[in-house]
Amino acid sequence: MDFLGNCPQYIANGLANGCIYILVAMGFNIVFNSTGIINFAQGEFCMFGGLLAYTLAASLGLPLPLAIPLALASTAIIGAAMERLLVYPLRRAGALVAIIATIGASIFFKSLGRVLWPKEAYKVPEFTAGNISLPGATVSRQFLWVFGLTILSVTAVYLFFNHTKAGKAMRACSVNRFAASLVGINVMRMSLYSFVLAAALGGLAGLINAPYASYSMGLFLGVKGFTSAVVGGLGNTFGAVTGGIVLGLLEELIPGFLTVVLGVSTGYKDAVAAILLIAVLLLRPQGILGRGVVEKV
Amino acid sequence: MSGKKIVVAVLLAGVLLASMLAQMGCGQKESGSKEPIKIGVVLSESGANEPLGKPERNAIKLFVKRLNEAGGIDGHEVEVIIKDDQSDANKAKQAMVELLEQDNPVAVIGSSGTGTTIAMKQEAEKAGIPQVCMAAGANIMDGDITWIFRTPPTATEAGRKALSYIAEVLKVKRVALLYDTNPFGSDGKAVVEREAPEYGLEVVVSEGYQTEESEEGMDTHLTNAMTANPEVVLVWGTNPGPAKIVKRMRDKGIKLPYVGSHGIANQAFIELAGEAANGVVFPAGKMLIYQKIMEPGSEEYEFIKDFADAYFEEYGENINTFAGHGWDAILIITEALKRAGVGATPEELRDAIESTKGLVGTAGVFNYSPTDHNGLTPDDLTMVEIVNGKWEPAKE
Repeated sequence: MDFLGNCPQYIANGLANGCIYILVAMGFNIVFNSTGIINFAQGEFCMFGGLLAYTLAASLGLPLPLAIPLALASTAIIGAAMERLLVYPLRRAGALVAIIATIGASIFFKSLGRVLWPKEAYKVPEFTAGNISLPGATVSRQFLWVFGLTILSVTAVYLFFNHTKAGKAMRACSVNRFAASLVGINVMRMSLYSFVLAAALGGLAGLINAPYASYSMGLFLGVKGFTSAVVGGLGNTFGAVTGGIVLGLLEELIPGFLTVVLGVSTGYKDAVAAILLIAVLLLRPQGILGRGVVEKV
Repeated sequence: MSGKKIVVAVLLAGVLLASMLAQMGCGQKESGSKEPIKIGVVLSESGANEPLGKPERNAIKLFVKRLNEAGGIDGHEVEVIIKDDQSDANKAKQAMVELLEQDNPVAVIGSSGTGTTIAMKQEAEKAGIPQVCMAAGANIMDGDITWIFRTPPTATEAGRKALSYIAEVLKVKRVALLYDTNPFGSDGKAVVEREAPEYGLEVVVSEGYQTEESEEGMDTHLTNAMTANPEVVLVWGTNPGPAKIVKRMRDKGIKLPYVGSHGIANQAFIELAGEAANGVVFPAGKMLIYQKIMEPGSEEYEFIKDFADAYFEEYGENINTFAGHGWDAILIITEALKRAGVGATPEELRDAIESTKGLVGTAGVFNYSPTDHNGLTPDDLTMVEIVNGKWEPAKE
């Protein structure tokens, strides 16, 4: 069976993409938890991460260990600026208004990206170039970084939310913002923190997704990350992990199966994400790991 | 008081002088030259197609400047009215309506992209005015082609050139096609699948990809394609997809020949693919490597050299394909105008464009006919190989 022979490679590819989706999905979750809004500019944070890394490392020639933290910090500042200039002034206008405003921000960021980085694509330096040959699959060395940094990020986010005061305060906001403010939590500061964290995670996703970055990558990664977050259960860190891995694997395995076994090549891998999203919303709207939301009538 | 008077006097003198100068200017224009010939131009100076629209605009402006310095057409100056459609079909339509209402041009050039061109085409047909476009989308020539002509080679010419190279030079049969699912790639896919049997080739697998996919995503498409045991990988897309694919292919140790499309006939591909670009072969207009494949002194060589030198002198930049498409568009219209005469009606001008034969341009030799408004053939393209990061003629 050719398909089974190809499977190690499909799985390796799926895991590599899945890790990126996890990072983007966690960004969606963090903002959703502390503010109740979906930040549709999350994908554009990835764009900034990737392209800033290009500018700092490839254009200005900074060494990677310096360029990468700088790129992440700059992206985090962009996230903070977005929160202060857009989300904070709209804090009384309701979640829907803020969500629509984030769509505006994403268009603005993308246009800004096109002005600053007009070419179709830029080459972002890999942390370590080269490949590793495994039985049945070839993976890039970069994949090890992607894998390691994703595990590190997930662990860090988990520990932050469960074992630090700021993290617990942010979780309190997600349960009930009004009650959280009554016990002395500065809800708006938590909103700022969440954007900083989400932007840094998005930036990380964008720059380890090397070696290519472009101004148009935000929508692509944003859609995948959003799907992963919803599939896993919006707001749930391990949901993001589940959703990212499931989406990453299915996206490689399903088209592989269709082409190799059935001989039909549709050319629309994106359909996998769309169908998965619709299926989950219809069958299990709270997501795979979601607990379900009890709404008072 | 006297200070104020002086100021008033100077101002009055200034106004008087200005009005006199203006009158002189008017008088000169009326007595000196004949009525200018107006040509409307709509192209994408901003938005997604800016990299196409800007060099096209530069080339058109330079061409007209040189033409007018040489006396215009029968002593009539050529005036181009350039409008930016911002890569937006609605804006292209609006620009076209404005041109037709306000400027009454004898013909229009535009646009840079396929969508904007089709929006203009509808207006050009309604008004009955010749349109020369610089976009390559196959569907531009769907339906009525009475008024529309084009200058760039299309997927048909490029696809046939690439297929004949695979069949006659590589001498292999089993083709794996990877194509971008955008309009450029889909046009290529249609041509390759339709024309392959004519060259005795078999498309054993055709995989669509998205240019934004990661290298790992491209790896899956390659893995799928390799299962069909191809002898050559043909990739039809624009940057950065083809670069990701060739890099991954070489990383995996796949040694099959890689043939690309004219979508990678640019420096960006070499930059993005790096080392892996070496050995890649693709069809492109001869202009890309004209110094290496044309005889100095031949009409085609001298034409391109003249264009390249003039363009560099004016803008300090090297020519590129898109500048060439703009140059060809204005060339075709002005040559037809010379033949049809300055007072020609739009119908007469259209007929003159359609009867263009053997006209040397930057993209090749243009031959239009009532059934072919594309003008070029696969022979106007050449196969280029990347050797040590440089373009060289591929072996034939």
